[in-house]
Amino acid sequence: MDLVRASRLHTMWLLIVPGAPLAAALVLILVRSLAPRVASAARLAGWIAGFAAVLSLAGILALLPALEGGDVPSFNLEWIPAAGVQFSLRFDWLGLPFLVTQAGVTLLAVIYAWGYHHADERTPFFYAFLMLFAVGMSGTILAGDVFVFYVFWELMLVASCTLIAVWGEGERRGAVALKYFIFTHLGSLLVLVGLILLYSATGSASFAALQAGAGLDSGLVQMAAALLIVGFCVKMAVFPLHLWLPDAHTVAPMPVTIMLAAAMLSMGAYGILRFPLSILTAAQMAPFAVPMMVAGIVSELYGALMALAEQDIKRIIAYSSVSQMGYVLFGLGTLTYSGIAGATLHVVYHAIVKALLFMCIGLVIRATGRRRITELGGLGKAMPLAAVCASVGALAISGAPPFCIFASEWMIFAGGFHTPYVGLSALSLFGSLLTVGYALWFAGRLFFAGPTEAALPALPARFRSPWAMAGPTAFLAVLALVEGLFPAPIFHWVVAELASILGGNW
Amino acid sequence: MPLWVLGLVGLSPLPGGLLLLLLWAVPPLRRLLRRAVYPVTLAMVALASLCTLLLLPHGGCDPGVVLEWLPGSGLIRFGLDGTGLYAALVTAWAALLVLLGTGPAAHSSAPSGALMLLALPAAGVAFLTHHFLARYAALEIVALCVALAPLAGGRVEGGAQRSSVVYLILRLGDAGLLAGILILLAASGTLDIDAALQSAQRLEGARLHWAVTGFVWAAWCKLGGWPFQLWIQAGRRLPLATHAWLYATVVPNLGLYLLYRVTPLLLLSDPLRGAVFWLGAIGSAAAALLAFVETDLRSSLVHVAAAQGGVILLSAAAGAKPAAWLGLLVLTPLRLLLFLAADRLDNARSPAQRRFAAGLVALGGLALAAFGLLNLGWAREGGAPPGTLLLAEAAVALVAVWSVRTGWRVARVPSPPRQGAIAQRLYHWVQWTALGLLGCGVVAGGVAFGPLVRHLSAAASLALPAVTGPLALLRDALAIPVLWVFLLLGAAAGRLQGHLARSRGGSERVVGPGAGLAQETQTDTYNRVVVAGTWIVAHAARFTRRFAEQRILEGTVRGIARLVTWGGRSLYRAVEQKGLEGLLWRAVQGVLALSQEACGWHTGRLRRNLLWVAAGLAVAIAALVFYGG
Repeated sequence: MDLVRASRLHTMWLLIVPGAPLAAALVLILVRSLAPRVASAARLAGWIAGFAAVLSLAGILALLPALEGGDVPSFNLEWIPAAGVQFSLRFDWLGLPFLVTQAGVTLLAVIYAWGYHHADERTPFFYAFLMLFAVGMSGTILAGDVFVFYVFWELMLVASCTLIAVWGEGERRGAVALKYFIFTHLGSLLVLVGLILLYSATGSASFAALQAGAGLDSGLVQMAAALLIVGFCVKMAVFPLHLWLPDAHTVAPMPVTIMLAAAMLSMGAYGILRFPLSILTAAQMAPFAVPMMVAGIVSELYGALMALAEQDIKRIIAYSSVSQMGYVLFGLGTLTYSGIAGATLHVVYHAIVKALLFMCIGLVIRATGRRRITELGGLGKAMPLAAVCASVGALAISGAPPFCIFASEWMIFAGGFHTPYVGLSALSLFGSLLTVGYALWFAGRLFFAGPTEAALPALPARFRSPWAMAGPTAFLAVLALVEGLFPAPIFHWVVAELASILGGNW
Repeated sequence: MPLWVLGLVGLSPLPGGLLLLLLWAVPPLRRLLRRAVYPVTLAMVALASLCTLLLLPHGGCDPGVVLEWLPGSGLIRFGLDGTGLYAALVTAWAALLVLLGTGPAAHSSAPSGALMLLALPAAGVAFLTHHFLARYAALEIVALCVALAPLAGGRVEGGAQRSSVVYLILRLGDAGLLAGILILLAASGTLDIDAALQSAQRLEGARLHWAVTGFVWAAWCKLGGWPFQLWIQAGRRLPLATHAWLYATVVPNLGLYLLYRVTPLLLLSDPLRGAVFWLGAIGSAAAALLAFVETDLRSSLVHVAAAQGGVILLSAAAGAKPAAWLGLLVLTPLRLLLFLAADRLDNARSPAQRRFAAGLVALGGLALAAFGLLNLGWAREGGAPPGTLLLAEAAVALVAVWSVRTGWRVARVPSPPRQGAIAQRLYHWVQWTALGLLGCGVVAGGVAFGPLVRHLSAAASLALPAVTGPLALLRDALAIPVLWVFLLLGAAAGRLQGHLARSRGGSERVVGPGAGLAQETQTDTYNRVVVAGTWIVAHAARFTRRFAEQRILEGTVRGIARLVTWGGRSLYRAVEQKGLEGLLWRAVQGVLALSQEACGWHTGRLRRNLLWVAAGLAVAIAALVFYGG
């Protein structure tokens, strides 16, 4: 009886994870009529979105004991019986780090939006689409079926594209949204074809059946794996499939940028882990190892070079994402225990640090109204909190201990040196100095060096940021340090997933 | 007292440093904190130094401190083996002496004090841990403290840029170290330093070369060997304590200790060993030459220490494993003596004080040269190539000449009049006493060097190479022709300068080697020869400095920075704006054109539509024939 009750409780929490933001989105559409004043409607909408995000995160944490007890909470519902499609959700170790990252980032982005977003008549809709974006991501991670996965995958795209097109900054937002849609949709189509190939080969859409369908034709395996990897690399914004990213990150309003950079990019890594790496064996994946490692290194170096060349502070950090996803792809491509665990850990830590850096940029833009790095400088005295937090972010992304990315980079590089390709690993390792270069230049130029080309607008001696913006920024800076000092808990989550990767034979 | 308690107390500077930083973050407390920084830093460092000293009798014991940080990377153990313990002891006491020797005036910045307090336990961890991950993380934290010092100073011009340069160079070295560590990890499956280094004996081919190159690269960077001395020089505008301890003591000591640990690996590959010989020799010669021509005393001290690093690398490559460890123990007090004496020269209030400080500079420099000679002897015994030995001998000779010449010159510069409050005078005498004690320690260590080395050898359970006595060392020195050549040149330069000073009728200001020499015409033939010889050497040295140091080296760094930026921007324009964006734009245009063309076939005249229908039907029939048949 207790088991049945516990199972029901797990199902309830499982449904709450995507259900709370979905319900919030629906309620938010009605908020404008419930609260006639713009300001109060915006405030109410913010609180509703925040509450839903908290509930979603609480749902994930409530399911943790079930996972630790060896249970896999799941939910199945007949959806299209004629096609044998079920609405299937399942919560497993593989999805846990990604889900926690996504829910945490969503909550912080919503809180940040309270301070950043200018209230207007459409604000409830803004929060509604933010919630739909979160539903898309959490549904993608929780999907237990290929069909459900793809539906949520596209919902993620539609919601984020709408946010950019409607609430984006600048005149080019429509064009940028279109470019973003076309690019990522092309990637999605590649993923779709790959999934259809797997579905037609195994005759089932459920992940469990795909994983069990070991007797796949080798040619088909190569084709499906190639399509899936390239398709997911579009979402990861790996060079040269990254062209959507700098524009989308720059034009999107800051809370959306935070969700795009910190949470949505990780969906690509999740896809590679969930499909090619979970379904295929090490031998089947071996031909893809070197191409993935090389593509990762190229992306790492290219993104860092672009970050050094850029002048717009938002684009600098946007290109940094291209570089960081290169590390992730390199780690996955090593096909080693350390490399894959490090790559997953890197996704989580990158989310923390990237959200932190974008939040700092938001503080700077809010204070100065400027985005060109040549027009900024010496902000450290007026904005000490932003200076400290950005320095933490810059050092963390450089892989300096005791901040969090140190551990994940260590594992990724260790994975690289476990392969026969020492030269590639050394190249990746020494290439990380470019990351150090742009990160230090960015933080040093913004906060500790004087402006060179143009005078700064008159800032008060000490600029006070809204607490809704400063709070999450400070929290993430502390989290980057705490995670660096105590990496064990998240590490255990990540390692638990490895049992389902490449057949689990390490 | 249990060992782990001592260890914890020894780590107390860490919370002390964090507390200083936290209090500094509260603006109303900053003024109060300014007065408390020095006593707090001094007390914490003294406590840590005392704890390290109390740990000394327990050398070789297992303190039982084990922790797990990154799961899967193994347990992190700390040991009290003699070599690491002595290295930690020397580094901690150096911090205490530098604080005593510089006084509170240079310690009003809380972040600077905090960085010192954070770096001390991190260095201790790096010396005492038996785990590569902990050691690497500790080294990185020290590097971070070093890099942040120009920013923490607050009033240093271009602090952000200096910080970036320092951190980048140190990370460059650490990248090599990490490559070496991870290759050993892949080979041995463990991060335990002893086990991993044991397994390195089985490495072959490219992996061995990568690993050894990585370790040597890291050690050379940390030693500030040429051309990596740029990072140490970046600290010359910082307060003396920061420059002398954080920059010129802690990191080079960590580099020497690393070199000591990996010395056996150098013997595994002959081609690499040959390269290391030449690196050490060329590095020491270049650094000594730079010291000789440098006009800034603090900068020349950095070069002098770097020259010794090169000589030690040479003897390590020759197989003298403990040379690096002994070098750490010897170079630390000597380096400190030189820096503190240089500082006292600036603050001397009477000719006697000035002469005393100048004498200590000369003493420290000559002691460095003597230790260099000892290392040369070990390198010769270990079969170092003659060419490398010749270069290293020239470096040692230059250091000796530099010591005597600098001591002689700086002693004659007039001192400012006596002034200051009673408290300041008190600190002034504390500083002189600390310096005097250090000088006495150096003299005593030099006199009893043989017994001291034997004691250290027994305490660290380490077989040290044969140490010759002072007389034998002097005999060796006299047998080196290069040393004679440089000594003669130096003496000639000194005599000439004295002559010039007399002819001017006043004391000469110390501005650099050979300054003003060419401006005077001498009637005396002897003096003409000396003028010509000194002029050539001085100008050759200046030429080297201008071209090798300023144009080639710094120009290369600037060039690399420009190249990277320019390359990035060009790539950005070519690929992001023209190439890929252009491709995308052309693809969109192509698709649009195709669509418009297709649209034209669908719409418009009926004739075209009928044609389209006919063509479509033909394709459908063909498909049916192929697949249906």
